[in-house]
Amino acid sequence: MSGQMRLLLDKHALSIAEGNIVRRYFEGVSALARGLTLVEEERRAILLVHLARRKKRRLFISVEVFNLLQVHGRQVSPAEALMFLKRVEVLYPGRYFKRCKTVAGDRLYP
Amino acid sequence: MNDAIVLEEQKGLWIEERLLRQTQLGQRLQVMVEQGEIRILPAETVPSRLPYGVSVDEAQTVLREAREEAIALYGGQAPPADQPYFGGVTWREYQAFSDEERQALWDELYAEFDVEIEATEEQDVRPDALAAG
Repeated sequence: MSGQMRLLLDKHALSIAEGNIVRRYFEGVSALARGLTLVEEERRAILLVHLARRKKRRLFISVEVFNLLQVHGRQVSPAEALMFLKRVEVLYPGRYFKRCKTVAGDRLYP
Repeated sequence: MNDAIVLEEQKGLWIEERLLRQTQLGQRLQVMVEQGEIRILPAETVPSRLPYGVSVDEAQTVLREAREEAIALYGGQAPPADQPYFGGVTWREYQAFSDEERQALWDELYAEFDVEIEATEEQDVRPDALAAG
């Protein structure tokens, strides 16, 4: 797992060229479910997300994006939100992280 | 035009202007260098590069699977267009938005959840936690 490339799909850093991956993914899955033709950005966003594990990439989103999808997407568009969230991991902000003790009781950092 | 011309690479390739005109490729061209081939195409019709370099067939398979997954989650049919879709608007309303309006809606909603780094507290994490910075 450590050798995998990790990609952060943040609000602004998530663009493939000019697009917003989270938004384009959401819109693309909506279009697919309704039998509509995808625009290029939607197609690329879906492929990027769905092929990530197969291509040994780990995708992360910020906790802000996670909360946005939980509140505004999951209740009314569960397929779009669930399909996306199950393929990404959430990155939590912090100024300082103290590592917990290991099972053996040894601290990794004194 | 079916002229077959064999070019020999020395310090580069030179294609005569008359040949380019015969192809009617237009004024703006894009040269695509691929494994085993170099393609010169009209700039307007250059095929897009797919993520991870997947083939068109693989892309179609993935998109078909994604559609099936979405349809299954919706119980066989997508929700009606006049039901809430995202951010308080229906699918029909969202579809009527321009791309800029859609982005503005996402930006507005995102701002509700924006967390200032100064507002975050120290917290314990698992021993295998990774730092992003």
